[in-house]
Amino acid sequence: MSSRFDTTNGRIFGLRTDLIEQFADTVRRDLKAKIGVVIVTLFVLAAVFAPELAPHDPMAQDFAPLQAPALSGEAPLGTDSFGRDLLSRLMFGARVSLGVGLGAVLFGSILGVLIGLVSGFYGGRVDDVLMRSVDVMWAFPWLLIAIMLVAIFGQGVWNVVVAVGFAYIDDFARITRGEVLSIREEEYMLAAESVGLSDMEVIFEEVLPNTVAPIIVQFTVLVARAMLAEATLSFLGLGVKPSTPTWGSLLGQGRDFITQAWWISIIPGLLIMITVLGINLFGDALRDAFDVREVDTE
Amino acid sequence: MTDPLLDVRGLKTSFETGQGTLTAVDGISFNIESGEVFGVVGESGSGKSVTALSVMRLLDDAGTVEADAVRFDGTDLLSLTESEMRSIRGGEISMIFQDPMTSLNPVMTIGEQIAEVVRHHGDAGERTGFWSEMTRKYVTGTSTDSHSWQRAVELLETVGIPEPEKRATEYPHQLSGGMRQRVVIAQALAGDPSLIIADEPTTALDVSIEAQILNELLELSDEFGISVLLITHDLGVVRETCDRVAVMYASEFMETGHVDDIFEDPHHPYTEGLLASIPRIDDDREWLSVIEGTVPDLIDKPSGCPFRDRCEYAFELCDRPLVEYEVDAPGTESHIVRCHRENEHVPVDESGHVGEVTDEAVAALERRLDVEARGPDAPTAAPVDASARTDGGDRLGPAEADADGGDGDEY
Amino acid sequence: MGLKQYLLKRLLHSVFVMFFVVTVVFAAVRSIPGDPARLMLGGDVDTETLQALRTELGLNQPLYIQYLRWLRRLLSGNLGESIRTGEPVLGSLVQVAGPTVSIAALGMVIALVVAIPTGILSSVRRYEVEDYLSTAVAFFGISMPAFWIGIVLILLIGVNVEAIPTFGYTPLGEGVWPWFKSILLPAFAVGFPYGGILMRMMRSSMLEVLNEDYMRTARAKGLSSNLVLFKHGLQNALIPVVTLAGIFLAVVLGGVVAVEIVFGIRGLGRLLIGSINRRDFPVIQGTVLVIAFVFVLANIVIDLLYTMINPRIKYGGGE
Repeated sequence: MSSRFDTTNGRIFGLRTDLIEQFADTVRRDLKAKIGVVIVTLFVLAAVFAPELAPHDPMAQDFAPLQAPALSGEAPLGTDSFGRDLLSRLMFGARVSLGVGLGAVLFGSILGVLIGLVSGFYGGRVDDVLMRSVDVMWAFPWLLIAIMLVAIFGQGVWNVVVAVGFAYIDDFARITRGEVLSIREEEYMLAAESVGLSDMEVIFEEVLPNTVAPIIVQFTVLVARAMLAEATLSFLGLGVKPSTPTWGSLLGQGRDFITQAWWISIIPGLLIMITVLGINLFGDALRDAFDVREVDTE
Repeated sequence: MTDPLLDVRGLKTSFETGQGTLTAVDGISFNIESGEVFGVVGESGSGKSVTALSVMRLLDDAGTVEADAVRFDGTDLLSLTESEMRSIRGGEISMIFQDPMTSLNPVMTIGEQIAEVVRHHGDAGERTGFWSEMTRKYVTGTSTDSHSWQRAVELLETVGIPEPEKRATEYPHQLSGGMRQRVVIAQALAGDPSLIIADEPTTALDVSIEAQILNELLELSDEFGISVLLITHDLGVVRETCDRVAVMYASEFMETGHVDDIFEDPHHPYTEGLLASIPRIDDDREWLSVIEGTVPDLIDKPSGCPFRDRCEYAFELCDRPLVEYEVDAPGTESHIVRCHRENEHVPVDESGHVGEVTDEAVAALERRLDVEARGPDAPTAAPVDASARTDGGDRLGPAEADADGGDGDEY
Repeated sequence: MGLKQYLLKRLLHSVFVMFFVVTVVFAAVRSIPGDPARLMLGGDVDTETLQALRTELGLNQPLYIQYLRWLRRLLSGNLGESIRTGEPVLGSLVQVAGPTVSIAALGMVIALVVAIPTGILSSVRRYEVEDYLSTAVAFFGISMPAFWIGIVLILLIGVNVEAIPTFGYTPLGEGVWPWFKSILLPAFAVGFPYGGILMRMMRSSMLEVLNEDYMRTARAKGLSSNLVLFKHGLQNALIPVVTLAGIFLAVVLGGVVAVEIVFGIRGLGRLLIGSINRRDFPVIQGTVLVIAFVFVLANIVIDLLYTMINPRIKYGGGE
């Protein structure tokens, strides 16, 4: 156990460089990890540089509608029912999907980690109350929350972020709290306190860096799940506004043309699958590298 | 002399690891008589547990087990098929492990865990096929009227568990540590064994419980004539319970003999070191006695005595492979030491150190190595008697205390 | 703690969850701009009916009274009437529940039947072909949204195999085989992701169990490897899987709703989505509440299952 909390090697600017080394090691060894890293990198690049890389304006209805993918020609992946280039829409869609996925998990993680830190650190009644409230939300399906938010506020990116991220608060709170509880017993915590560090300092300087590993793993896994959730919501028309391209909404738009123009639905779906798969492999590699016990496996 | 119940000759177990071949057990030989309690004592990593698992062939495919012979009641265990071996495991030879909390199945009642042994190894006449067991586990449960259950309750009573009928329906987590280990013993008795292998049976228990459990084992051994192979790191336990003992170090036996002989007249430097490290109440010394140095690496293990790097009496012959030397009553193999100081032609002075090594010594060693290489069935010369030594065979008492600090040594 | 205490605790927890849901829905409806009564009845309604509902909901009263009245309505089974059809919401829900329940149930059964044995096999044959193949399939499963699997299935199988319908639902009443055929593809689409999750959990749980001391004891007792695996190992390995299976029910829910849209099945999911599009608030509200309720019930069932397989719950700790 103690080697996991060994902070003596490599802390540069507070970053755990030993974790980075471990990860590099795992990637070198494992084919699955390599595939995951490659996919994730490509995805992030496409998302970030979409404006530069996309051949056409995603909203421009310039082309003949419902053209099949032909790798030569103006629209290599075909066009949708409005004559918009699918490839460009997919690239821009990557941005939104990634943004929403990250946003949702960030939302859940920041709130969850805070709650977990406070709960685990202070214990007692604070812990009880916090964890009970978090617990109540645990088994509740995120879809219903999303529905209610849409019913009230209508469609939009923020609704999706909150609805999807809401369920993850619990995940992060539990993990953080668990880590804090186990670290509290370690002797160097007592040492830190006896030297006179304030509660806040102890939390942020001693506790947090050591909980980072399982949190990162969970973060990654949940981004994958969030993207799937967003895709489902957008497909159902409950997610982002119809004009905003995300892979899920593109899929939804193709729903009515499945037999005539299968590519409108299938290609975004394929991309979702590959990307989510890549993120899952990436997350698995992280988990292996950081040697995190599998609490919640996906 | 009657044939021993268990006769192990030249047992060698090795594992392939990423870094090379790890020799966990390197050519050990011993035998256990009927009704005898035989101890194997050594520190962690000495190979004592692996020895037990090798005899039981419980290493799966991880390790390679070779031996000149592993004879149990006349049968060579290493030549049996897996199926035949399974009928011996839990039956004629049963095993007890260290931690009763983890070695009992948490989701099965203790009654059932004992009863299944009775079913498989006894003559209860109950069906033991895969599907019968599955039905029993998931559909009907084990009937409390069945012979195997009744026998389980009897066994619980035998090992001293109060209210056995009630306890039999309970789960391991509902019992205390001492009681759990008693259940483990009952389980080991269920197949009517002639030999019980106990691997550190009391290490995980409180000292007060430890005494009870050991007594229990001894009583059962006496009452039912069961032999016990007791593996431990605790010299105290050995003294209290064993008839004979082997001292194991880094995959090899250093010294074997009757407990009294070993404790009162140890010959091997390692044994002496172990005994000297036991703190005594009447001791005036300021520092605990330790054996300096650490255990050698067993991967791609070099030949020669494994203890030589830490032995203060080491000399030239120690690079050669060890052989068995008899001490005391010759021909009885009652006290065997594997140390070249015992070579009859090697002069040893009063402090135990070795003088000039003569050619005769080397020749004598060569002869013995030859004999051992040819195998146990080859015609042997009469074992050379260490008491014919030039110094009259009188060994000095346990080495006097040294007084250095240094690394600790656990045994 | 004993069995009773554990179940009581879980029951209490479930009640809390339901309260939470009910309160959130209440707050949601009140947050929508406009008169709640008008929302419930739709635009085109005469003043009398409007006033009657306003009184019943106590809209002129303080909020907590409104809440209590609303609770009372709910508990008496009155979920209002659909704006579109005028039918009582509860009744309509019960009518369309059939397909949803069938698909979800069949999907979970498929998932369990495939995932559990595969997970065990994978753990026993770790790093061999069987393991790599199964893990790869599981990974794909958890990376695909259920509705997309449905679309792919329609394109690959539905179009080519006449016998299997890709649209609509045939109730049990019209024959078991037609019923089964109509839910086969959607159920598979729902079960695949869930199965992937279960398989990975089973595998990792079994791997841990295989390393436990009591497995070594079982072998030392001379039991065959099959017996050791299935009699001594399996139940222990299932414990964490059951615990987590409930959490992932949300995956099934999301899957079923979307899959109903893809396959044009008139179930709870489609009703829900449709009512959102039409702003049919009583139906939205009612469906959300009913689904949440079913969810909570399902979790209670899983809790019961858990107590059955983990004796540490049934019989409290010893000394």
